[in-house]
Amino acid sequence: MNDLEARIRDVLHEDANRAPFVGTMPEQVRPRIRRRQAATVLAASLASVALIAGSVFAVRSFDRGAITPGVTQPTDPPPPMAFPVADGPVALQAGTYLVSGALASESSLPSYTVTVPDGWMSDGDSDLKKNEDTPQVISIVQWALDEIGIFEDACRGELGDPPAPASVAELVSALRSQESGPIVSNPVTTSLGGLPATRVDLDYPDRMSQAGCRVGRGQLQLWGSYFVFHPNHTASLYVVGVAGGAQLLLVVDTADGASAADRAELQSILDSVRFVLAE
Amino acid sequence: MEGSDGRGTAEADQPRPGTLEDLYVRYLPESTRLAFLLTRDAASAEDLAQEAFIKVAGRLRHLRTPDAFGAYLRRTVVNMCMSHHRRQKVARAYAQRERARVDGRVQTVGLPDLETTDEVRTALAELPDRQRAAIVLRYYADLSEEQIAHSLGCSVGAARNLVFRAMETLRRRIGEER
Repeated sequence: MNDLEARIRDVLHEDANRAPFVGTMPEQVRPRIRRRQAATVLAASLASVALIAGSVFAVRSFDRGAITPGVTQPTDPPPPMAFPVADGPVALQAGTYLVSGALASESSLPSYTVTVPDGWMSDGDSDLKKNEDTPQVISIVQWALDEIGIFEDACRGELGDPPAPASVAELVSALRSQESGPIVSNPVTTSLGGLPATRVDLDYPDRMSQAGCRVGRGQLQLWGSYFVFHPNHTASLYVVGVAGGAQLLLVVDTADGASAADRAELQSILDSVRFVLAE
Repeated sequence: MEGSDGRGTAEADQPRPGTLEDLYVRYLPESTRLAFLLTRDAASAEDLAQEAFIKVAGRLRHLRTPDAFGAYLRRTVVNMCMSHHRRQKVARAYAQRERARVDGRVQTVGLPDLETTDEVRTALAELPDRQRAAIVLRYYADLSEEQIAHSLGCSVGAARNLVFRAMETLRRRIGEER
């Protein structure tokens, strides 16, 4: 080993000793791993179902074509694709996906279908993103309302396990009383996927944009699970409840730099949401 | 530890082999140190290493080779740190523009907190993200070229090239003639 390599090793090992101490596994880690495990099992099942449905669809289309060759037949819409679950970002093929509630939660969140145009990515969960890591980023991310612990201080964040809201009123109240928190609109009644929903808009507080927060300059951790609200963003929270299930929280996060075309795509994705309700 | 209340003797506090707690205790400290070297930020390193652990542990039963948990975790940590870096760059660029707008002048944004008095440390901090990651994996984690390639999600040749180019840059900046 030459001198430079030895010096590099020394510096890296010296710096590594300054890393934070890690003790035993925090309590909130296990339920989050279980959610992931449930999501992975479900995604594998959905992939099998989608494959079978696709095969049936192909056979039926073939049969129809065989009966009346050369004549255009009305076709059934293709079955939704299973949402991909992966270790990292995945480029989504344009089409309709079945997003299982289990991808975001171990609570009984509703599943839904959503139609995504070209150019969108998933980060390997249920999230939809476009232009990630650019000032034009837009995204739709889902949570279970009763599983997001609202931090007391959004700038400081923490690795703790703060209490989660049980209702939209509690969500609004917790965000409004959050130190360094966002500007929170009054809740308005709307609909999503054909179901009644409540929408709350968040604006970034100007006073915070230069603050040195825990995870980066001006980056606010509103709740756990690593949701970070950036200085040049706005967000709309949609809360939808389905009988017998947990309340779904869809967060539509939009950077100020997002183009009108991308915003229109985002809206078309939201408009395409259809909940899969039990018979 | 499964079924433990977290109290008792030191021996009783040892997690059972193969449990999530055991994996956490075995792999999280090293993952956090790796994340810290890649992000140079304690809070981000702590969060990212934990998120990576949750991600990989959530797929534990579906990993092709569960024995390679450490390698999967390392790869996920590196991926998440690279992604974190890109987001930080966007945020810093925004902050810089905002300050320029407020102050009427452009200021440079300094590197994160780690001391940069040592020339090697400074040169390492200035390397492009993937080159620095390759150096950290090579000289801190002591990985082979194949393992570096797996962690960075690239070919062995590309990994070798990253280390080579990083070393060239370091030699040039530190003034060591080869």
